[in-house]
Amino acid sequence: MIESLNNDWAAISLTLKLAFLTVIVLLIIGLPLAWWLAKYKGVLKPFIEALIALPLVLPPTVLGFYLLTAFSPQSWLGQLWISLIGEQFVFSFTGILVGSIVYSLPFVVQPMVAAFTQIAGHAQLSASTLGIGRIKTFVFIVLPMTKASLLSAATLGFAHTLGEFGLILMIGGNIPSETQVVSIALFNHVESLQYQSAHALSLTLLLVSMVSLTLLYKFNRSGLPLGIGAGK
Amino acid sequence: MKFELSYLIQRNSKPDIRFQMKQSYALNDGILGVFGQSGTGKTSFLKALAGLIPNASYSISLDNHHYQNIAAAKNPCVYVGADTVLFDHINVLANLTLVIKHSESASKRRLNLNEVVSLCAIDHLLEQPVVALSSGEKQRVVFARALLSGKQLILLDEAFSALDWSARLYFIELIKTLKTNHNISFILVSHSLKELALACKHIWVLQEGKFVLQADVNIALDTVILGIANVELDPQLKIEKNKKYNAQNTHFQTVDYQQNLTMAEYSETLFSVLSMSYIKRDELDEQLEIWQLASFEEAPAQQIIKRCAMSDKLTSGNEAMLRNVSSIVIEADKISLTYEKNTQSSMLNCLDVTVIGIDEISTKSPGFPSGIVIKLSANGQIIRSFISKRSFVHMQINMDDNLFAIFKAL
Repeated sequence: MIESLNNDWAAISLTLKLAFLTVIVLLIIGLPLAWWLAKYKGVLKPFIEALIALPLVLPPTVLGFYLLTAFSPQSWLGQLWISLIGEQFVFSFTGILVGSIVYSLPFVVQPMVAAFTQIAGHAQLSASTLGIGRIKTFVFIVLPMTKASLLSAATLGFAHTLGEFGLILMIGGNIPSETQVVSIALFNHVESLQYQSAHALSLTLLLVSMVSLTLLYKFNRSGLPLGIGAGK
Repeated sequence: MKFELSYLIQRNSKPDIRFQMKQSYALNDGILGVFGQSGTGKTSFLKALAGLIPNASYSISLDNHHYQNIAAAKNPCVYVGADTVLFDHINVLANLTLVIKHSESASKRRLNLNEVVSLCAIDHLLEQPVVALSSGEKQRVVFARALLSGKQLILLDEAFSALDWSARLYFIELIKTLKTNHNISFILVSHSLKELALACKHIWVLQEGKFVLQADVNIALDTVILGIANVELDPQLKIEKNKKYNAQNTHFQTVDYQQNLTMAEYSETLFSVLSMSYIKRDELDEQLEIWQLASFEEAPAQQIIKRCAMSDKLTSGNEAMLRNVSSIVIEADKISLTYEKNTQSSMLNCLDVTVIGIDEISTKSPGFPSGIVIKLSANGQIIRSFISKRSFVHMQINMDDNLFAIFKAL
């Protein structure tokens, strides 16, 4: 079983790299986006919220199809991409990275918005009337206050990216070491009737997901703001 | 302080409230109290002043600085509400130090951390997590935190509502002391007239976004309480009343009770507020203390016997501060009147008073008894005594009569 995993090592490390980078990028763009969205009260709010939530309900293949069309080398967006990045969008690692970021966006941004409004909403009012500026409030009050929620958002984004299939197949195809992630390698094994390898890969994915979620729930319980969690 | 406010509160079930006010108040005159029933816009008024209502347009002038529609952080007022939250991810001490470290105005604070902790009696709470505090303890910490913010005007919106009455009295004395000794200004909002009467020099009554009354505390008490009781003056009494008490003191203005104050379900009994200062503990009974009535006229000093304030965590250590000058509420129906001094009485207090006003309350509001309110002056302080019509007729009380007001130890 271990031996069969050795052949898939490239797919596993690619998947972990993809998930890790996706989470990093999502934290970087998600924090300001969620912070802004939590404060924004304008007419466009429902539209923006819907746009962020769209990947939750849309079949990943639809998302993948549109990204594929938009970034095809024939389109101006695809041309722009090539001139900026130096390689084409489709069938590349950066391509599936962008796809994953869009796909996992709601899993990271939605818990953040909820945390900023529900957990830290009143605290921000207190801070502002006490004379604490916006940036200091965010860094010294909101972030520490919501760290449990932020961690859970990051973990969800990570776990969700691990399980991606349709979108990556659509954008990235099935290129080993470039776009062949675990879920696609698994599909290959089943197609070619290599059930031993399929078992090994499935079990690995199952264990990683289970462990990360268990750690998340354990951490989050003790980090709950109202002290609801039992035994710190 | 001058301010202008303009905004609209939209309410679903009730008519909208439009705030359009342009007011000024000399903060040096003392603490300003804002009274009004729930839903009249008291909280919105304070929040708008503090810059916490995003769509309100406002401007404040304070100490020659003019502020207009600036962010709450730079606003000169700090808002403290009944349910203002603490930062609950850190303990009490960290809540206080966070403000000292990161508030832009904290460098202007007039008290240091240790002083604030001792004045608010929260030393035993410092290491506690916020979630472990009772609501009263939270309010004390929230108030302490506001003091450390260094802002010069503190807006208290029912900020002591979770404290029991004795602790509330302590904080009322505390804000008066802070005003006098450290020049920190306060605007106090409450639906309890007693709390306002103890703390404030002036009371403004807010109704549907407008100040319908702006008056000295004693006038406000008469107008609000008697106004609510639907006072109808007896024609005969009216003549008496027209003999205005001739004093320079502005406390004694006659009041037009017919002012249109529509305070529907309001129920508070008639009372007066006496200010006094501590003299000594009573030698005969260690339960009692002897205080002296603060005097606004040249008259022999009068003593008042008061029960010892229970020394609890709040007062121990801060007693000296509190004994300096203190105000106390005395209910009008606890005061009896007599023309002759009777030394053989279990009533320990007997004050020399002069009649300065007589009003008949023939009430239509349930829960508010009918009778006669005699307004008296004791060394220039106003005392209200509530007696039955029978006693009034029997005693034949007239304006300017000299009487004795007797009551038990306070």
